[in-house]
Amino acid sequence: MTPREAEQLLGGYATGTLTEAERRVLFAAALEDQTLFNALADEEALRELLADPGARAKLLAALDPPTAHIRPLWRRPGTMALAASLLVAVGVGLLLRHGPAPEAPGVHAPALSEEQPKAAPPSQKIVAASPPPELEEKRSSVRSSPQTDRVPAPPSPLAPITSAENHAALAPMREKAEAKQAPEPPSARAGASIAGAFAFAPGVARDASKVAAAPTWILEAAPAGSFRLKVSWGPEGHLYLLRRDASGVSTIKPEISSLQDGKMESLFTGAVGAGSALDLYLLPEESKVPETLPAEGPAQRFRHRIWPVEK
Amino acid sequence: MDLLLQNDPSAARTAVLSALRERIVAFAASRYARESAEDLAQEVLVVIHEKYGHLEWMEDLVPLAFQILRFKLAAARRKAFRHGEHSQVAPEDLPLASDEPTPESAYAKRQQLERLSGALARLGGRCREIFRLKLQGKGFAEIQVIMGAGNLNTIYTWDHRCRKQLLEEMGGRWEP
Repeated sequence: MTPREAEQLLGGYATGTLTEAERRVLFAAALEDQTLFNALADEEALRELLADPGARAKLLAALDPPTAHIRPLWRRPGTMALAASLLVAVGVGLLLRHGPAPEAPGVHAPALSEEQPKAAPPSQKIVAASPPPELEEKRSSVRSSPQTDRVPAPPSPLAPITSAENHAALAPMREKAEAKQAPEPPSARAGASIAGAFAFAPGVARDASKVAAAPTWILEAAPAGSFRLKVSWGPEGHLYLLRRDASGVSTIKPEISSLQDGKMESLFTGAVGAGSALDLYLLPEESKVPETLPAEGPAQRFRHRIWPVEK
Repeated sequence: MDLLLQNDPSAARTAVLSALRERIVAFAASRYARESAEDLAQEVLVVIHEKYGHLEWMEDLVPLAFQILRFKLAAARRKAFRHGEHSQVAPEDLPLASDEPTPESAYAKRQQLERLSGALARLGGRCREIFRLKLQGKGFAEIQVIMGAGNLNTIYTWDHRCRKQLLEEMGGRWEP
């Protein structure tokens, strides 16, 4: 081995890892080659340092193979952050896809027990058809609403009747309608009958602990004894509309319920005949059997006989 | 004279010491002081002759000579420092030398270790791995197996290049 080749053994001298044969070759070459001898003499400082077990241990610790520090892929921060982001994105997506729709908050009304007029689509504007003259007169006189403080609208033959129109104002009309009820067929007195007809349908699930203020409603007459009722109520609670007549108590469910400007608006349609009564309830808790709700006695938050209109 | 073919221990020792003297003088002349090189080589050989007379083979004598040379060089530097004007202290006032490392030497060693660690950190992965295996006591043949090299000379070459690179990273000198 030439001195040049023996020089390649220098690296093993300081670390003390040369074999006996390698040491012999290296030293023999160093004794014959001054450059190699000088390099070996310089290497002595490193050899002395590496001969110290403490220094050797420190260097070994610093030279730990990087594989010893490799974490599993799933434990790296980047991977975890990516997984968390995906999880959040999927969760938000599911919520948006399957969460409660703000437009139709879970109406769970019992089966409709009465005939519903299907002529007009639910979104169609409800207009009273051929209102009787009595109704028009009352409409013009009962525009002021104590609940809504609305500005009275100008008299109009098609103007709806609001719940704010107090009962006293509607009473004469009801009496007239009842007086005509016997000789006339229901279709002939539809306008008069519908004038006071309110119906509220089964509850829209809301926060039971907070039932907002009393609802307001608008009753609009329709032909053939039918009615349309639009109720605006607070976003909490459960709204029920019961019809009471000789055949018993039935629940009328809303055709449409939607959230607008922080308030629920429900649209009911139906027909009421003579001797029928419509009670409106707004309860803090859901009622499993709304038909059992009392018509009289202590009121549960909100209960109102919207038809026939009380004096 | 082929030092590897010496069979007579006495003759081998004589040949080795003769070669050592020549190399030490040249080394000391290049690294220390030419006028003191002869004295330095002589002091090393005196120590070997007086304290290590039982060692006859080159494998023992050469590394021993390197260690003694290192100590003698350090002593020569300290002696030169003592002769300076700024450190005129009576020899009697100097404390006795201790076997324990002095704070100065401990600091120097720590500093050297830090430099070495820093230089190793700047090496490539292969060089770091070779150095690590050597620190673990692995020989070149074992390193060849571990690193999957086809030839032992490949490991020699890799290690030689890594050593040169490490020395460059340390500024060309193992000591500050």
